[in-house]
Amino acid sequence: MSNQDHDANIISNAFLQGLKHDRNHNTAAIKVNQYSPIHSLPPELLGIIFSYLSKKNDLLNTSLVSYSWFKPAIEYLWLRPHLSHENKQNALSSICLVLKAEQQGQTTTNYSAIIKRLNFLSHADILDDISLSAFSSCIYLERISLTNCKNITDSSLVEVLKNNPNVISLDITNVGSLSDKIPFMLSEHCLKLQTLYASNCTQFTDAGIQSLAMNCRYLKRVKLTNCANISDDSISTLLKNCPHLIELDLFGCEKITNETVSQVFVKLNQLREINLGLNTFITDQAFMNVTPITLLLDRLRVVDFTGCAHLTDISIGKLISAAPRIRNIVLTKCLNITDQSLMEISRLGRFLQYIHLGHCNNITDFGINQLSRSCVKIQYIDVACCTQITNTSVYDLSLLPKLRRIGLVKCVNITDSAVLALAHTTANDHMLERVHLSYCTNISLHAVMRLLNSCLRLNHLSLTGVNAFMRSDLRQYCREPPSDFNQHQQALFCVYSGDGVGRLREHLNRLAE
Amino acid sequence: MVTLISSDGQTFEIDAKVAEKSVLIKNMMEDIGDEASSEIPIPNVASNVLSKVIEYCTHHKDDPSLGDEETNPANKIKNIDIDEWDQKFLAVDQEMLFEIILTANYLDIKPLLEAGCKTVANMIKGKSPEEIRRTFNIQNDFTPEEESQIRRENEWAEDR
Repeated sequence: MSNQDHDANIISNAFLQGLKHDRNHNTAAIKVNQYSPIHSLPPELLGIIFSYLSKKNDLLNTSLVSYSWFKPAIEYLWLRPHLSHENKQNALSSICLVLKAEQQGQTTTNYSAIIKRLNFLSHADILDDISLSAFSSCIYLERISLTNCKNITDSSLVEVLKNNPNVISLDITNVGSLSDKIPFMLSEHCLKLQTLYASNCTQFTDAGIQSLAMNCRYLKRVKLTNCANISDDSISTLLKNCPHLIELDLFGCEKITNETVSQVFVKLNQLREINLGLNTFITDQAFMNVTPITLLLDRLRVVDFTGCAHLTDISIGKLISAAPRIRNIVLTKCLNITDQSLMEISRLGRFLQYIHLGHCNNITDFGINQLSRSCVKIQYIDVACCTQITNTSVYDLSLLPKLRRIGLVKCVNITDSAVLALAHTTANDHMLERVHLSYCTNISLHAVMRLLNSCLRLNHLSLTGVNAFMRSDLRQYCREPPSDFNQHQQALFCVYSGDGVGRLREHLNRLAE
Repeated sequence: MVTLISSDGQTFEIDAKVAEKSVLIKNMMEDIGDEASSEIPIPNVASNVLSKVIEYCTHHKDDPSLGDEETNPANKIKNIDIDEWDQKFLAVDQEMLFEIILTANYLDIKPLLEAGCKTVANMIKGKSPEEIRRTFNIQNDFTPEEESQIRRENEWAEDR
């Protein structure tokens, strides 16, 4: 029996148990209607029809048409319950009450048996242990998303996981109150788990992840950003036992050493995304054995080495040789990187779309020239604080046909001529969307006005600390500074986004007249 | 060329390319092999419906075939538009519309099944339960108490 049939049967049984109805009345009704053409459609086709009803009201009204329509319609409301945004607390309390009433046998049907996906993202601030435990009566959950649900603790999530062996995805990003109990629970009850997003679950330790890695062999996506207690011990087990891993995020897991990192690149041949940001102990040693002969990482698309300050051009060269199809590469604050790395990265050619080189201040116009000549599909490039960069680099980058975003913050050598190049290039059909020019102190109103008037898709323009813009008539259109900025930072803050960009454009044009 | 035979014995001689819009027939043709004139009985479908379905397949014979994503229920909600020609083609009485849907399902012609189901969904949208019942001539077999209980049990839902 296929999964779908199986589920359909479960739901239909639940439905039949739930209905407390005089069947005679029902049969009579069907007799009257036997010539309605629609009765020729079996429930599975009704189900397909109802799947095109995206509005809750339509689904509810459809479920109220007749007994035979109730089940296939109500299924779409409960499969992934979308709680109302209007009165969040009422909506949450209301569905919890229904699930409790169901436990007492007081509902029309067994709704909990229909639910497969739970996502509380828009109700994260009000979800608490009491409301989450109401969902422990669900037994067919597959995907649970609790991102930012900071008020829940182990107790309610344990109850839910205990009854749900079919969970394949759990997202508990930013739920710092959870402990190792959760990975232990998963390794005992949820052996089909493929995705665990547990970034900022800072209480997790090696014990929990070790147990998870021993039991949940199908893991594909694991995010443990800032889980700083985790070390080589558990991650090496994970790498050994879970060969299907395609996404691994260990950003800020500072205990991770070269030993583990070197294993990543020789064991995980399915790897698509790897984030090792802020693992400051990583050195070139980690890449010693990375060669396309050992393992060709031709599925690897996204790499993030933010702040891996010991890495040099040698590692980048090895990585690019083994992973020729990288799409996104983040090397922010990899301070040792030089133009040699950019030559290596140039070998990615048209595969590269996104590159972040912030603070890599050894980089010069030569490297950018190599990069922009080979990697013509670049959409996003950031060279913030690369202080050796001059207008020449911007001329080269302005010729990229797909360029959407360019970050030039604190590239102090940049002048109007670079801004005009971005404004006047026809290479990308004026498709630039985001331009960062903060602290490029040499640029003038005139150049920015030309940029605004030629790039009509611009929706973000940062000009913080640019003297020409420190005027109240211009700053009235900029965004509010972030509240955590100090007075000095607030005074310099000058970022236009969304409608603000258009208003700045209109204002400058009025002044010009 | 392929010859299809309807339940009432009518024969329809059509291009292989047209017939292949039906995954069921396509598979049958592959099983039969290269025999010059193959006859395929379609015992569940009457000639009036079969000729309609052939009309659809003829019009769409050059469309690219859909990938799996298109048929995945999770992706359905996004694409709710019906092609203009299909809309006119499906402007038929309910009996014929449902016959077409049943046939598209049986012969495995996914784009036609989809267009047919969307057409019925559009007949439901924005209507009250009573209006839906009238549209399709369905008898209400719920008691008022049951109706209000179902409404209460689904109050939490987002108005999508």
